[in-house]
Order: sequence, then structure tokens, then C-alpha cells
Amino acid sequence: MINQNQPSLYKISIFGITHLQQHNPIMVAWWSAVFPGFGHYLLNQYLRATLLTLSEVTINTLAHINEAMIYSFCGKFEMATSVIEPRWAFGYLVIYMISIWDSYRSAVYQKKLYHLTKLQNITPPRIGIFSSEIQYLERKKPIVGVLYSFFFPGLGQIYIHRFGLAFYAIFWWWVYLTLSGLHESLLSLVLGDLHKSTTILNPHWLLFMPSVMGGSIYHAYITAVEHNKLYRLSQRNELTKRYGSNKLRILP
Amino acid sequence: MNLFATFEQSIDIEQALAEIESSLISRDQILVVYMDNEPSPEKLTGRTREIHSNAFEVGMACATGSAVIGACIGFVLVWGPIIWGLICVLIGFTIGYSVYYFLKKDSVHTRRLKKEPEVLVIIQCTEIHVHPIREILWKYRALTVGQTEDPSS
Repeated sequence: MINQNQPSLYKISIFGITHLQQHNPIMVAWWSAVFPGFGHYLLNQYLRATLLTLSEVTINTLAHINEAMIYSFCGKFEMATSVIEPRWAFGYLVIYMISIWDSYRSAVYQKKLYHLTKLQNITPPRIGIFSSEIQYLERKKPIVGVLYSFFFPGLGQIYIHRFGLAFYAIFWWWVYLTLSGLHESLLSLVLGDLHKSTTILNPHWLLFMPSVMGGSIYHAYITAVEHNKLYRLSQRNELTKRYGSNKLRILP
Repeated sequence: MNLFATFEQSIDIEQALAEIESSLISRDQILVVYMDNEPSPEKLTGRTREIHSNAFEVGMACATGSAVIGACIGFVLVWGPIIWGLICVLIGFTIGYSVYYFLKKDSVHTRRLKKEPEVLVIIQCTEIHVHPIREILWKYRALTVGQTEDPSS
């Protein structure tokens, strides 16, 4: 009996290509530690990842986690203790740890799902045409995604056709840029005013930025790599089915 | 006549086949063979069989972590968080990249071609079709094209 709902490695929707893949679970856990939610983005669990990132920014701000981190790394442990807000900090910690663990666990399971699904070898069409979007698998250059996201986090996600995530990231990058004063600070730095460039920075908002940029670059890179794999697999299946078993007379 | 062509996998090969099939010859005169790469060595665990690509991933992960630390300590150092953040990105990336690279480098012998012949297309046709088919193959970026004489002659 043919099961109509046979799982395949990917599905094309209006928001892009959602797919299974084999991650190293440690790597996924690491990105969750860098920014709760990022691990789930890598696992293509976009909704829960987005909710986790919103929760991270809100609770981090209320609990003053970033300020406490700066004081700790600078060795001012008493300042760190006094700046942190216990009402929010304990809950923050619990969510932080659980999101790391949850993404690790999911990565382990998705690895098995990938293996199982790949053996079925079912590949859906590589193009989806919707009333307001066209989405397709395409061979990509991963390094282009890296450069896009390096110049402005979120652009790499446009390159890999994940436009919802792209504009979510672009919106937040503007928020971080505005609240941290990074561009003003860069300007002072270029003009040679070292002292001013440090004092106009807002540490709390600045500290989100390296993680967001790194995460956006990494996500764009590995997604492009995975799209290439899916493209090759799908084209191979399709053309082998069409042209793979014709009997030509090659030898004289 | 038999025509042989190798391609990289891309949409071009599908365009070439569709064009040949729609105007010149029938589908059962075409044979497509997908060529496999040498299997990835057991020890090279990672997303791809390309050591530099896997090392880049590890480098990015380390760079991000150390950028955060660099920006933190930058607030008490002379050069400030931006410069220290960037310095730490470079240090972190180099460490991550080289640790992966040097641990795994013995397990691969890298001789990568820039463009790999991933697909072999064989087309059986009569002499009059050889020229137009060759034109189409080149137009859609075939890497190499070859031909043999008609088996019956």
C-alpha cells in the first residue's frame, strides 16, 4: 500500500525550503548557548526559534544579563552581582539551559529522521509557485550568503530564500544598531577619537550583536550547503528516472 | 553516432536535455549517468566532504564566542570593545579553523577540481544531428564533449 504521506527530506512552502539535515548535535547546542533560539533555527524549527529569541531579548534586558557578563569577564564580580536582577535571572537561567538541552536532543533525533527519510529516497519537485511568491531549490554559493550576512545580518537569509527570517533579522539589527550606537562609535573610531567611541556605546545592546551576526552568517552558510545537497539529490532522482534506463548501443 | 558530454549539476543540463529532446531526437536515445565522488573518509565527520568547508563552520562558531568575550573585556581596555571584538574574531576563527584542519587533514588527500564532471550524458543520433546537438551542449555549459563513430559502419 502506498502511503500518501510518505515523508521527504524537504518541503517547499511560501516561506522557503524547510528540510531535514544531519547536524552535529554539539554544534547545535553551541549555537543555542550563543543565543537561545539559534539552535532551533538551524533545525528549521522556525516558529519556536523565533519565540525563543524574543524571550531571550526581553528577559535578558529585564535581568541585566549582558551587563553582568561584561562585569564578570572584566573581573568585577561584585558589580556583576549587584547589577543582576534576581526576579528575572533565575527564570532566565532555566530557559537558557533547557533551550540548549532541547536543541541538542532534537538534533540527535533529526539525525535519525534524516537517515530514515533519505533511505526512502522520495524527492518532491524543486519549485513551488504560490500566489505571492515563487520558491525553488537552486545551486548556491555558500560564501555569497556569508558575505551578505556579514554586511548586514539578515541579507544572507534573503540569499537562501528565507525572507521571513531575513526581515526579522534585519529589523532586529536596526534595533541593535540604534540602541547600541555602534555606527556612531565606529565613526568616532575612524576619526581617531578612541575615548568617545567607547563611551557612546551602550554595552547591553552591543553585546547581542556579535552573536546575531555570527549566527546569521553560520545559518546562511550551512543552509546554502544543504540546499546544494538537496538540489543534487533531487535532480539525480528526476533525471535518472527519465533517462537512466534507456538502452543505447554504444559498442560497435 | 554517439555523443558524450559531461556536466556539473545545475539547471543548465536540464535545459540542454529538454531542448535536444523537444527539437531533435527522442527521449529513448538519451542516457544520463550520475557519477559519484570517492566516498568521504570515515574520519572526516562533518557536513561535507570538503575539509575547508567543515573547518570554516568550526571557525565561525569559535569566532562568535570569542567576539562576545572580546567585546566584554574591550570595555576596560584601551582600544575599546569594537577593536578588541574584531581582534578576538580573528583569533577565535583561526583557532577553530586550524584545530579542525590539523586534526582531520591526514584523513583527506585533497585534489579537488574546480568544476567536477558530476553527470555523464550519452546521446545516440544520426550524423545530421551531431552538429546542432553539440552546439546545444556547449551552449548549456557542458564541461567536455566527445563522440564515437556510428557502430554499424
